[in-house]
Amino acid sequence: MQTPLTVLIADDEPHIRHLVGAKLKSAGYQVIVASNGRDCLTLAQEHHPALIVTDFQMPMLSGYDMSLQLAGDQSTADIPIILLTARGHKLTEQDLAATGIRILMDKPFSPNDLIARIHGVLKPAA
Amino acid sequence: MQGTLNKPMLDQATATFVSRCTALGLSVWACDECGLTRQIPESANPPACQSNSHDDARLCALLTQVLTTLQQNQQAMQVGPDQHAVWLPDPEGQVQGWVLVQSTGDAAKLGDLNSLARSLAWTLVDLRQLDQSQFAVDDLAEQLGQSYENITMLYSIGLSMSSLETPQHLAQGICDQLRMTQGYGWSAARFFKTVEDISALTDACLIAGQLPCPEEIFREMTGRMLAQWNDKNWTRLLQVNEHELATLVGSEVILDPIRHDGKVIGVLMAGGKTGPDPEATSGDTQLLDAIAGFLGAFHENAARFTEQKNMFIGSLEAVSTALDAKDPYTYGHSERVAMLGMRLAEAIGLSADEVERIRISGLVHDVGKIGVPESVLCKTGRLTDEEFEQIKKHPRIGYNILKGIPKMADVLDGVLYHHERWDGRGYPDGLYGEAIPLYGRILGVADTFDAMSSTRSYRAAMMRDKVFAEIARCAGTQFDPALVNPFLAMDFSEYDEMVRRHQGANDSDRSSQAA
Repeated sequence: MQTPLTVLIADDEPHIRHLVGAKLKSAGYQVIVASNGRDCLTLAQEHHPALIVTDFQMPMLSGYDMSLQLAGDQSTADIPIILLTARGHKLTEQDLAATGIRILMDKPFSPNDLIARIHGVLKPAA
Repeated sequence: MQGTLNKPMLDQATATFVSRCTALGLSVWACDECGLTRQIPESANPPACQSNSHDDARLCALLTQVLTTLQQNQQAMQVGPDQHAVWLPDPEGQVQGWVLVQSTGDAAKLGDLNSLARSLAWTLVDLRQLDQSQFAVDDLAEQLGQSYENITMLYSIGLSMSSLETPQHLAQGICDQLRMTQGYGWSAARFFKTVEDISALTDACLIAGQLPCPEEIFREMTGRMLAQWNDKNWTRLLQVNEHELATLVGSEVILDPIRHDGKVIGVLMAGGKTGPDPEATSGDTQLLDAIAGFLGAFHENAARFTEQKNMFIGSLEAVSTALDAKDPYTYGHSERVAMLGMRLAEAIGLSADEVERIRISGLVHDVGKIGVPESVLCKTGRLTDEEFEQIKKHPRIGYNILKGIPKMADVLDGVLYHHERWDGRGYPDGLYGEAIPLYGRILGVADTFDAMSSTRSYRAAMMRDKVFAEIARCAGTQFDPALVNPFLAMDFSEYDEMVRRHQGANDSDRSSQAA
């Protein structure tokens, strides 16, 4: 049996971690969670997840700044990232190009849509 | 998302295109099978236009065949003796559709056809963008509408928190609103068996809407879930076939803990969502999170309120006990008058709030005796007129002591007027009949009954039947006649029990003082 892919979820709101975590587990992924950008960065370097779903606004280190740091580190630069944003956060193409952020997703979102996007990012590589 | 484009504008654009083509002596063919041209409505076609039937397989095949050629060759291309195909490019230069035209007149005018087609193409692009903007506007409007619902709901929850709702009332109201505004089939608040501070919620299961399963099973299962609860093993989303509760109710269940003093005291749940997206979104879990937070905060407040009230009453009790202790014969008097007043208030159907006020009033009714010398209070012989004048001051003194305390305004009547008489011969103001506030009249009966029933420095206790006879005799002179019968019909076993308790405590107090 294939080892399940690991997805790292970072959000300071527990309900988001729970909601996304439960859906991902049901979809067969292994899930690890962080409640701020700094922990997420550490966990990403430790576990090298297949994908990261992260909130934009988080204590200590924002999702975007964390993505910049991951991109700057050879060992984590290739991890694809889905950034959850509130409407109104305007990130330009250039902003995104400097990071591993593949998809921006507006909050509130349907977790089923999110899972579909995650499949979209991970399936071609698998 | 590819909705229907704005029809009047599309009609106008195609009509303009067709009429210009007609002016050039060209007739327009629209084929239903071929991408965008299906958008050209039949009604918009002027008589010159021959609308091809869908089953014209030959034409469709022909059009499909020329598609690739058209993409490379950006000119109108001849596809038959008098037929030309012209393509409609999108902003990236890709084919977004095409039309077939039949030349009936001067074929040389075909050159103008391309520019006409371009203008139609741009109109179509504009329309499509407009459609997308419209979609985005609709989407935002919908979200705004939902946000409005949420804010209204949180606002009304906030309002009910500030009114004096009981904890069950509030939790039930929250479940009802959550279900109605968010489209859940049901919603429930389930509390632990060990909810301290708020006994009304212990093991409570408040449900809004129709559960898709017997309530008993739901109650039992959620109770079991709570019993196994710990902060690490729970999740906010229960899914069918993964969790027994979700499987039982046949839908996703979202839940959020209600916390009090940092401890989880229960959970708020919702399920059976209907609508286009019946599965929980992050907006749903966020709202539930906020509401559960509200409930927790309300319970914190309710517990603090009860705590403060108990402390307040406790200090009043301490004051009245200290007062009663000045005279061993009045030990426990205030507590007994409070209890009798409370029972009489209940018997004549006063509200729970008023009953409580009368109890407090009874506890403090004699507080003014602090200002009367002990030598007078405890005198065994007959009082002189001067001494009696001093005794008569105690209601006014008590009133003056208490009037400065916030929250005591409602109970002052009982303190000031418990010595007034129905016939106007009482003190301090000599009020008559119903001019005497009700609290004063009620406490007057209770006070006199307890005084006659217990031993005083100036006489021994009277027997119960003598006391009853005296009270009955004084109906309409000393007492409000409407209060006498309800009072005499009361059950006095609670009173007798209290007297025994006070007697015992008083005796042991005195023996320990003697030792």
